[in-house]
Amino acid sequence: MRSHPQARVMPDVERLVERAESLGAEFAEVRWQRVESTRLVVVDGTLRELNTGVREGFGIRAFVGGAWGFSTLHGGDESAAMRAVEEAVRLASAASKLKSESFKMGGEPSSGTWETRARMDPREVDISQKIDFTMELNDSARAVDQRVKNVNVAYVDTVSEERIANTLGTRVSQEIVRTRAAVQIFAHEAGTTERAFESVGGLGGFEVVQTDKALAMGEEAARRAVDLLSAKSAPAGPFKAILDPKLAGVFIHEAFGHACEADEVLAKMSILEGRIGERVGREIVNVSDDPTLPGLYGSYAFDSEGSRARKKHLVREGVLTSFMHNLETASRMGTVSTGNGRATDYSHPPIVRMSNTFIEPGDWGVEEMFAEVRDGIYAAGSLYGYTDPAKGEFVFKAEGGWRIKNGERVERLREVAITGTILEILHNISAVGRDLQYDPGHCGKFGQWVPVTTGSPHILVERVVFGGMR
Amino acid sequence: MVDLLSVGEDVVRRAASEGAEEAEAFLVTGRRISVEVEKGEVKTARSEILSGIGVRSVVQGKVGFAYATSLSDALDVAVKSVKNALASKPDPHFKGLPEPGRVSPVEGLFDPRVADLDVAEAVEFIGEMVSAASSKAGVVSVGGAMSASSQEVAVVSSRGVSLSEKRTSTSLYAFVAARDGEKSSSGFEVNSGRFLGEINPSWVGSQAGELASTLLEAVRIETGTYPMVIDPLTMRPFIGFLVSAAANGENVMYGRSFLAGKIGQTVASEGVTILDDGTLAGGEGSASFDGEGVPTRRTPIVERGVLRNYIHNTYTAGRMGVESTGNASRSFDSLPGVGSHNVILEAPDLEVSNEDLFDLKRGVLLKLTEDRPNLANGEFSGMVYMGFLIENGEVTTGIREASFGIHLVDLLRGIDAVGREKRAVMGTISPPVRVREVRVAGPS
Repeated sequence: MRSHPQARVMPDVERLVERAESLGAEFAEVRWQRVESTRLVVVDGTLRELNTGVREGFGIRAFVGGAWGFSTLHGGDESAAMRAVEEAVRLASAASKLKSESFKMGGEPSSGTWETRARMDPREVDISQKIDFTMELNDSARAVDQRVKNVNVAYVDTVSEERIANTLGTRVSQEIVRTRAAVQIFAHEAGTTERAFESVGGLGGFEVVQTDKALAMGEEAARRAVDLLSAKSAPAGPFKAILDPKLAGVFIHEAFGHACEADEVLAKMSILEGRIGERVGREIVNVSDDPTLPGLYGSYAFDSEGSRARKKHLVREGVLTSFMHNLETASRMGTVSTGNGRATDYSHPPIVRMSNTFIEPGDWGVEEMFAEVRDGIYAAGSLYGYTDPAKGEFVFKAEGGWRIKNGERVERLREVAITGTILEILHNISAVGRDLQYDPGHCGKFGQWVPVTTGSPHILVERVVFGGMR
Repeated sequence: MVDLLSVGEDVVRRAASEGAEEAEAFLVTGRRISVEVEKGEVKTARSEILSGIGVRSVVQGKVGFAYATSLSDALDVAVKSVKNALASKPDPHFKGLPEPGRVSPVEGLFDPRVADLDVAEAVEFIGEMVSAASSKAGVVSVGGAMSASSQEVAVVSSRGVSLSEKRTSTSLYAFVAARDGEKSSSGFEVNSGRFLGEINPSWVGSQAGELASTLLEAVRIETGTYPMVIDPLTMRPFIGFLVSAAANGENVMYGRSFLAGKIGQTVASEGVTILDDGTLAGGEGSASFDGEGVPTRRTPIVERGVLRNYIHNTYTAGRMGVESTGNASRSFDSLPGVGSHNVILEAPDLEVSNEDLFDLKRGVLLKLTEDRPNLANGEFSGMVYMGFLIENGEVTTGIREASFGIHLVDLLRGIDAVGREKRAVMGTISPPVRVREVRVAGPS
C-alpha cells in the first residue's frame, strides 16, 4: 500500500472477529471504515455550502441459529467496538428465537489490499480549485440563454478507508476514492418552468470531473432545460418507443436488475425465481453486471464483504443465466458470492446490490431505429425508476422526449412515466444499438444508497405504456 | 450521558477563538434498534448507537461547515468549520444566524417505552404482524421491519440559542407477496409515530395481507378519464410533496417550483385547507424547535383553496423578506435545509360518508404510488402501484399495469369530496380524497 501522509493506525479487526467467534457466533464479520468527504454546492453563482466531514465507525455482524445480529458503533474506539461485538452476538441470539430453519454460512476466504489510483487525489487538490470548477460550470450554464432561471451545481468527493475481516478468514484492506459532480438547471418562460439534469462521476480523484464531458455538462443541461420549455405533455397509452441510453440504462436496472438480486429471489419477492435457463427476451438482448470496469462510478475491486468483484452475465442471448449474490444468498443457494454484497457504509449490513449494470451493445444505428417508427415516442433522459419485483411491474420516469411520426421527431414532450412488466418487456425489445453509454447514479434499497452505473445503447421497444396526461 | 449543551458551548467558544464571528453547533446522540423480516421469519436484529456533530461558522460573511460522527472530535470540527469559512466565498444573501426565540415545549414527543424497547420485544411485535399477514389467502411471503429510535438533539449558537430535546419515533411496516398460479401481487401497510401505542402489528399485517390477497384478482383497464379516490396511505406524494417540495421556500426563492409567484392564487378546491403544523402534540413531524433552534409553528399553506404561505428556514426567509416559519430541516452532516413537519389536509365542507365517497359508476381507488410530481411544472405522472376499480359504488377488483397523469393543481382543484376519517401516515394527516377526473392509462 502506498504510504500516505495521512496514513493512520487502523484498528485490529481480526481480534474483534475472534471475540465474536469465542462468544458463539457461527459466522462473524467486522468492518471498520473511515470516510472523509468534501461537498460543495453552488446555487446561482453563490457558494452555498463548503462542507468537509469524517464518518468513522464499526459495522459488526454475527450469525447465530439462522439469524443475524448487526451492531453499529460510530467512532474508532476499539474497547467500545469490543462491546459492540458482544451486542451483535446477543442480537443474533435474540433474533434466532423465532427462526425455524438455519443454514451454514460458507464461502472461500478472500484476502488482499486495493487502492484506487487517483491521478489527482482529492486530499491534495486545493479547495480553491474545486470551488473554481463549480463556478465555471455555473457560468457556462448561465451563459446559454436568458431563460435559464436557476443553476445548481454540486461537487462531492469521498475517500473511504476500509478494513474487512470475517470468520472465513477474509482479510481485506481497501481505499476507495470516488468523485462526482452534478448540474440541475431550471429554465423559465411565460409561466412555464422546466428542468434538466446532468452528472458525471467515477472511481478516481479530481481528474474524473476534468473531462470534456464534465466541463460541458452545465451548457448541456441548460440547453435541454430551455428546449423543454416548448414541450407538450406526453400522450397516455401504449406506444412503440425508442429509449435513449440514459433511460434504457435505468430501465434495465429497474425492470430487470432488481429481480436478479438473489435476496429478492430467496424472499420470494422476485418474479424471476426458478427461471434460470428460461428465455426472458429476444436473442438480441444481453445484460451484464460488471464492477471491474475501470473508473466507473459503480466499480470496485472488493465488495463490502471482502469478496473479489467480477463480471456476471445476467441475460445471454435472451436467456436468464445468473442471479447476483452476496455471501449469505450464495450459502443458501449452494453457490459462491458474485461479489455483489454492498453496504452504504459501516452503519449498514452488506446486502445484494448491483454495480455497473448494462445492456450489451447490438448492431443497430440510431437512424435505422427511427426509420422503423411510423407513430411512436422517443423517450430520453432519466429521473428515477422503481420496481415491484413480486408483481413484476416497474415504472421509470423519462426527463422528456419527442413524438415520432414517420421516423421524424415532430413534437417535444415533457416528463412522462413509462410502465410495463418484467416478463414481457425484454421480449418487446426489437433492436439494440451500437452506442453503449454509461451514466452514474445512486440506487436505493432497504434504506441503503450505493453508487452504481447504468448503461445501454439506444433500444427500440415494440410496445410500452406511457402514463401521459393527454 | 454526554451533556450535549455543554459540548455545544465548548465548540461555539472554540470556533470563536479561531476567528468565527458567528458559530452554531448541531449535535445528536441516541440509539436505534430494528428487526427485519424475510419470508415471515426474523432475519436481522440491529442496534446502533447514534452520534454526530456539525458546526457552522461565519467569517466576514462567508459560511463554512464541518462534521464528524465522533463527539470526541467536536473541537476539531469547530476548527475545520472556521477553516472552511475562510476558504469560502461571501454569500450576500446570508443575513446571520437566527436570534433565540420563545420556545414552548410541544407535548408528546418522547415515549420511554420506545426509548427502552428491547430487540426481544420488537421480535414479538414482528411475530404478531407476520401471523396476521400469513393468515390471508394466497400470501406466500411476508417481509417488513420494526424500528424504534430515541434521539437527543441540541442546537447551540453564539447568538444565545441553547436548546435540546429528546424525541422518539417508531414504525412497523409489512410488505407482502401473494401468488395464485400465474397471478402475483403485493400488499403494503405501515404504522408509525412517536409512541409505541401507535403501532398495531396485527392490524398492519392483516391490512397488508388482505391487500395482497385481494389484488390477486386484478384486471387491465382501458386508457381513459376516471374519478379517483386517493387513500390516506399514499398522501405523501400529493399533499406531502405540495408542502415539503413545491411550497419549500428554497425551491420557491430559486424559481424551481411551479408554486413560485402564486401566493393569492387558487390552487385547490374552495373547501380545501392544507397546513404545516410543527406544534401538534404527539405529531410524528412535531418538534419544539427546528434545526436552527427557531420555534416551530402552525403555517397555513393553502387556505380554502388559496395559496397563502411557503415554508422557510432563516436563510430563505431572510432572502424573501419574511419570518422563518421554523421549518429548518437538519441532520448533523449538512447545512440546514427546508422541510415540512406534519402536513394536514382539512376539508370539513366536503366531508361525506364512505358510502357517498365511493358512489361512482366507474372509478379508481389509488392505494399506493411511489412516484412524485415534477417540481418545475407540477405535472404528476406515475404508476398505480396498488389500486382498485370502483364500479357502481363498490370496490370490485384490483387493477394492474395502470398509470395516471394529472397536474397537481388540477388534482387539488378537482377534489369534490373527502371521507370523514383522517389518518396520520409518515408525516401526512388526511382523510381519503376524491378527485373528479384523472387521466389513467392502461395497456390498451
